[in-house]
Amino acid sequence: MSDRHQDFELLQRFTRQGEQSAFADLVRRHLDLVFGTALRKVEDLGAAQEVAQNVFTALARKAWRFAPDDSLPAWLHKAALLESKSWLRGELGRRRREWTAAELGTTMNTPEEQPVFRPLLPLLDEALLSLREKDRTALLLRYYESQSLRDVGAAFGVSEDTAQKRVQSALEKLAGFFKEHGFKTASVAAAAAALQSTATSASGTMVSTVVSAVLKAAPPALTGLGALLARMASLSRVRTAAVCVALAAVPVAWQLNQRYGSANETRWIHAQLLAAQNELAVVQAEIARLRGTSGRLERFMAQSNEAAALAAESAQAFEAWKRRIRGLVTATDYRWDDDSPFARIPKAVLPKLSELSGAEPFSPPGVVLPYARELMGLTASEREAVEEALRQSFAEVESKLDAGIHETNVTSPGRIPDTALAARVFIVPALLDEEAKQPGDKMLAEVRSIVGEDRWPLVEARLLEERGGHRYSGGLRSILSQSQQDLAVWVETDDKGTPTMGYGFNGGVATMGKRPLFMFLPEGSPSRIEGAEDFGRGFLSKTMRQRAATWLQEQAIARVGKNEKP
Amino acid sequence: MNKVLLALTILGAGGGAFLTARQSTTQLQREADDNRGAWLTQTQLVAVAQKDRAALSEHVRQLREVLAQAPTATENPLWSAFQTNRVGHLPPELRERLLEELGFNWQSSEEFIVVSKETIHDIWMRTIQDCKLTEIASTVLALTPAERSQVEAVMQRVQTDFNDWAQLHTERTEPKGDVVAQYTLLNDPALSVSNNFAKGVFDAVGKQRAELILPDIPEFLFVVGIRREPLTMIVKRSMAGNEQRLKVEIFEGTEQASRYGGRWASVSSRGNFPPAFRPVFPNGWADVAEREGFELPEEPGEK
Repeated sequence: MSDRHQDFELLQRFTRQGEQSAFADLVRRHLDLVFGTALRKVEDLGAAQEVAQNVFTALARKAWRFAPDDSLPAWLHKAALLESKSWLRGELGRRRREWTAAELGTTMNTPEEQPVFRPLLPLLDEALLSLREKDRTALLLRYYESQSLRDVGAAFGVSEDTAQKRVQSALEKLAGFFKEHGFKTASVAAAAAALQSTATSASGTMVSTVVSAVLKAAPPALTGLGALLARMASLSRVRTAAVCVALAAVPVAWQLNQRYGSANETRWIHAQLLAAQNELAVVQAEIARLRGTSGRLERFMAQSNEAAALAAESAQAFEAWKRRIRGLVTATDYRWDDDSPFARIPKAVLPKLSELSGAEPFSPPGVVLPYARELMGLTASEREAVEEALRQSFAEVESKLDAGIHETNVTSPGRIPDTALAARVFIVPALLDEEAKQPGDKMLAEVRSIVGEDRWPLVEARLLEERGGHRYSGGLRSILSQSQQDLAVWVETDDKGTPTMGYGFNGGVATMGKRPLFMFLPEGSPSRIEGAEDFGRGFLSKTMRQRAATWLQEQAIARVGKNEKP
Repeated sequence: MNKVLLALTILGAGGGAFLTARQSTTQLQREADDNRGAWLTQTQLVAVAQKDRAALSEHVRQLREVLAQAPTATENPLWSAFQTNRVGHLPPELRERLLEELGFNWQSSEEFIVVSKETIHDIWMRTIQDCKLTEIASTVLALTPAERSQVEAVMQRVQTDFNDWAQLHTERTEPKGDVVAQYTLLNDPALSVSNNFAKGVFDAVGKQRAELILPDIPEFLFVVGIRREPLTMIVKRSMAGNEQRLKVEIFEGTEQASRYGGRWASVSSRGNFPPAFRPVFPNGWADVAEREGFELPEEPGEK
């Protein structure tokens, strides 16, 4: 065990268990150092003993504060110096100093009698204090406690050689201090000599005296908090730091744990808050949507109610109107009413009215004209049946007429203009009596059976011979006509050179003016003009129209611009 | 001493850390309390909103139910279509549907048939014949005796007015060469006679029926003798072998009128006299011959 640890062990035993012998051992181990240091300062044996006694008393009081790594010799040396100074500052001390000074002044008058290191002595302790603790301890152990180099090495846990080197190094530093303070001749040897010369050995009596005095003033062994503090004080720095860290860490950790919990709780509540806010937003959006829907539906409802009211009002008005119209037209004293869209006609005059009428009741390819439908009071089914009979009959006559259609270039003089570039005549020969009569009679019989005998006179009236001044371009009589039909078409140019077409029907009865030839160009042709669809509509049979249109299209294609591809 | 400082430093740092952590914890707890309060408020708001939503959903459901059950109330399309068309201009299909709605067809009455006024127009019936209203027109247009008398009075007045006007506006041209007689009936630029006639008919029977009568007015005016252009009658003498013949040429303006027997109509005591000149020559060719001093050729039957 090193000296240092031995010192610590003794201090422990003294502070914890109150072992006075342990403290006595400490005094015994270091009294020389303390006493010697004090004696150098106070230069009085009694005072030095008093200082040593005070130093060890202080040690007994502060023994609990020492750690295993602390150097007790270094502490004792410093305490001795401080105590010495304190003593010297005292009044008694001053007196003694004055006396000593007088004595020294006498001595200093004979410098030749002084050794070389003598001037160094006043600065010796200051020089020791300037050293690092390890260097100072090494020198204190070596010179003031008279330990061997081996023991010094053991105190530091190093070899003897190393201890020697440390002592030597410490001496060099000491000498360096002296040199810095004006002692140019100060050497290692001088420093060692100074140390050796100032080493003092305390007597065994002094040891007992000091121990006895100290132990009387020493505090009792520490217990409880004191013991704990003493124990803590006795810990090394690392351990102290570890204990303190542990002591500090617990509440900090606890607080951090609290904080962690609070943070988690805050996060959770915040998440809940956000979720609630989101839910609120969603619900509010839904409410807004529902309000919109509700508003829309309420508007629909209002509109529906309004429409219902209007419809009811309208229905009432319609019913009232119907009652009024029925009343007007069925009244015994029937009068014409300008507000009524209807009028009544006695059935008795209908045949005569039909006879005097200038309108045809039917038209190709099988239509009962609106006025005739009303005049005969046809129901929808009757109308359909009559029109079907008409269609069949007209189609039969038409096919017979179309079968005989032929073309020729020969025409009567003056029929086609001299300016015509090309011309063609389409002829439908007259049907034989039987050919025309057969489908006509069949159709009339069917119509008669459909409309009945009471309405038949209205149709029959239209079969009367043509009356003066009236000509029928279509309808019943023309369909049943047996006479020849012919259509002359020709192509010429107008004043601007544009190709035109003209035509004459049945020897010029229906002759139209000039019309653009290019209306017969095929669909999609850029030069095509609308209007070909109306050509011959209403008086030409479908076949005759197609034949003529085909010839006119050939003429148009032949005369359209050369660059155009119709 | 160093240990004490070290311990104090560590404990101080620990204390500082503790205080910092405590302060942070307190702040977090305060924040949590605030958030909890806000959360509670939000939760209450959500509850209120959910209640509102439920009420609104129910309201919407009820509205939809009511709307789904409500019959589609729309105006009768037939009535609606009738409202948008003027009387006298109804489309054929609408007229027929209205008649069907009213229950009128051939079977609905033994006595009469009900038709639209458009049909009466489309029949093109003769309303005036021989300067008189036809019976059929009077019947179909339901003219009362008073209305008919009024119209016929108007027609009579037109003829009288024309006679007066023609006597004042017939000009004679002195015969020359083979022309034995030449008379010109000037036209009425203001068409006052025809206009008065149309107005009289309108006043008598109203617009609707007047429009049904008016298509025959030109024919009536023609028969009466009223023209748009001056009418010129030229009687010329010609020889057919040893036989002398008289022919008449009629011009409306500068155009030859074809309705008087072609380019050259024979003049005879029996007829073929242009009616427009009747007011001046009531007895026709006989009066003209007497006035101009030529003899009418004998009719074949007179020999």
